[in-house]
Amino acid sequence: MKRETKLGRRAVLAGAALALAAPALRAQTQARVNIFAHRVHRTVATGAQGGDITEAWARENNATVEWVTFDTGPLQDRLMREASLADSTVDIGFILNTQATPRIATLFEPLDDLMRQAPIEELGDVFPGMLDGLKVGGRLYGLPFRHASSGMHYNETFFEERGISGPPRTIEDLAEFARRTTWSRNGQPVVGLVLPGVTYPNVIDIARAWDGEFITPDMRVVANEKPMVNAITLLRDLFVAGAFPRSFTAINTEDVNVWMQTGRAAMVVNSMGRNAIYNDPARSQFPGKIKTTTIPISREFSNKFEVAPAKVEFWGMAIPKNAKNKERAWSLMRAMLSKDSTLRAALNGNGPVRNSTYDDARVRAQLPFADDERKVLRVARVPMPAFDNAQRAADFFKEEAEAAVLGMKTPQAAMDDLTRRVRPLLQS
Amino acid sequence: MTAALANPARVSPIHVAMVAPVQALLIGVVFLPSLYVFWLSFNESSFGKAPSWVGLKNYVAVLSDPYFWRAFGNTAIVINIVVYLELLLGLAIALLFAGGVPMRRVLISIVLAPYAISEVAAVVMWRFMLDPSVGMISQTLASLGLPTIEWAVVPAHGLAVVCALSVWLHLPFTFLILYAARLAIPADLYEAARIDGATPWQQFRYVTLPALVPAILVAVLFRYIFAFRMFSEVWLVTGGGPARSTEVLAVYLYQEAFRYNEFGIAAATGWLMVTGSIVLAIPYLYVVYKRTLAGDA
Repeated sequence: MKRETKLGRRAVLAGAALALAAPALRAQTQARVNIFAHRVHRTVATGAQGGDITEAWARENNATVEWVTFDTGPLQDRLMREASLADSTVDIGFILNTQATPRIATLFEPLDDLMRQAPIEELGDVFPGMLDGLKVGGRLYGLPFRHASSGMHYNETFFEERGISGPPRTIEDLAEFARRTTWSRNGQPVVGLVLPGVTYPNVIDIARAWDGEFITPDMRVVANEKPMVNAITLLRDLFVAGAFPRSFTAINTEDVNVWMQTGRAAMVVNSMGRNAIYNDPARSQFPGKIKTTTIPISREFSNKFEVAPAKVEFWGMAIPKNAKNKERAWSLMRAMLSKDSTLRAALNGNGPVRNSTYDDARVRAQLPFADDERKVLRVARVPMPAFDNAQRAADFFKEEAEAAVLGMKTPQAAMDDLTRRVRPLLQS
Repeated sequence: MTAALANPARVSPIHVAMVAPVQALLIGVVFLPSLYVFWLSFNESSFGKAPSWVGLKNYVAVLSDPYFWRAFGNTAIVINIVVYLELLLGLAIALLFAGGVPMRRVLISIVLAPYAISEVAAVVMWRFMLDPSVGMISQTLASLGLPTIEWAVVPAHGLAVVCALSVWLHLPFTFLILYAARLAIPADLYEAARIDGATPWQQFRYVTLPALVPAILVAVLFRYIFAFRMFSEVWLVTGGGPARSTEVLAVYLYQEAFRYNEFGIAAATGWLMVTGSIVLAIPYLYVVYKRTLAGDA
């Protein structure tokens, strides 16, 4: 009897040990795919409404998908460091379109061969501008996953209170509406227009009302031409009129969210996808009242464009050159860019990179600005072509734009100085 | 310990073994990386590009960059204001508390409180209070008919806010050193001074101040070194703007390293900062050495 009891204990202990070890053993036999991404990528890829778009692939391939998430700056820093090593555990990294430069491309695997061996589903459905934006020297280095196209958000309540019906039709109207919606509402100051600073992606959206550029796709600096000078002049005039925040240099995207949610600003030019944040019933004092539309074109260009060719920026998935299993990484990227995955990620809040996604009834119900966004995507362009010194050029822009809006220089002088300073960066 | 140092024969292997982990840690995380950064400062290096030797080119580039000199000027202004304002305030509060105040423990806790607050949280709080349109400080100033502090658009205002924030955050450090040193001064000395007819000012000038000088030197030296590498206050308040006019050296270095990925230039900037810190520290270290170690030997 005693002997049996002893055996029984051993069996129980062995069983318990096996039960404890089983998950670890199973994990050891499973392949692990590491993705370095921004937190938003994980959110839209694994959200509740559309579900986890990696789950089916992971099950079929007996793999686990590990997300390591960072803010934009630290993500790029960490990803480039990992990609610079002799070998890396990173399988997929998210890069911005501005990072598809010749120097950075040396750290990542060209995808053309992988695409030939196992093409992605209906490549023609993916917005071609986004695919082109991830090409360097004619070779593809990333698959687009998420885009942010710019639009104009306005507080409908404020417009009604100030006797304005509907959004501005031209950029000149926008400036006028900004002045009219700058007032003290129940003792709280409201500013007509807010932007997350005057960095080039924000100002370019205004300049696109005149079809303007900072640097053209053929790498000419045209910041001192009329469209950009018009945009800076508009912001300077609004600043002087008090219709643009006194603290604009210190306002970031998160601040803008709060300004719109709390009614401190009447209008903002920002990515269209921010509509959900501005109308979030849990945080916004104006849920359902922040409307989103396209950025209006200038009167002089109203015959050429229906809406301003606003900026579009996008994230792409890339495979580091030192990744251990590139085929497996490609396989997951294909799955994440399938039509179904793109749709499900859009339901989770992603900016879809496929044209067909906008036809889905659920997406259209969720995005009241879906038609406007598609209108923008037809004409939208990246804010600046990618090149090695792009970050320095961007900071030169911010510096000169701030100087002009604050009145330290005239808009024309600031943009002349900017053009002179940026030209050498394109040659190096 | 001083005796042991004075007589090397008494430094036994056990002493060496006891300090070895710390020495190894310093060599591993400070000394060797410093050497690597020194080597890097003579190379052109970025992501996707193997380092290539360029000699002194990075130092020439940094020293001929007007933004570096602007950052250097801002750093010099900010650290001198911050360090000496902190010293004056820390000394005044230390003397006040040592002289006896009601609810001393509570008051000491209040003075020390900013040290327990993370810099990021402190900056967010200050930014909110100083918001030009809805901040409570701005509204109070406006209600008194005073002009608003436009820290986001007027460089001088931005640097003033950075100084005020830095003093508020780091005052406890200076205060603690000076307060401890003040409490260590024997009461007999003050009693003797009073018997000799010394006025309160004479007691301060001839008893308190000489006794506090070593502590003041240590506080100033450490605060100079810490303030010289000031980053978060500036980065989080003004971001170096508007138009890069409030940049300090650490922000300049950060931009070169982590925005432009120019590691060679960033490394050269780092070594120039180290050199600057050493030059700044030498007079203080010399005085500290003369007054303490040399005096003990």
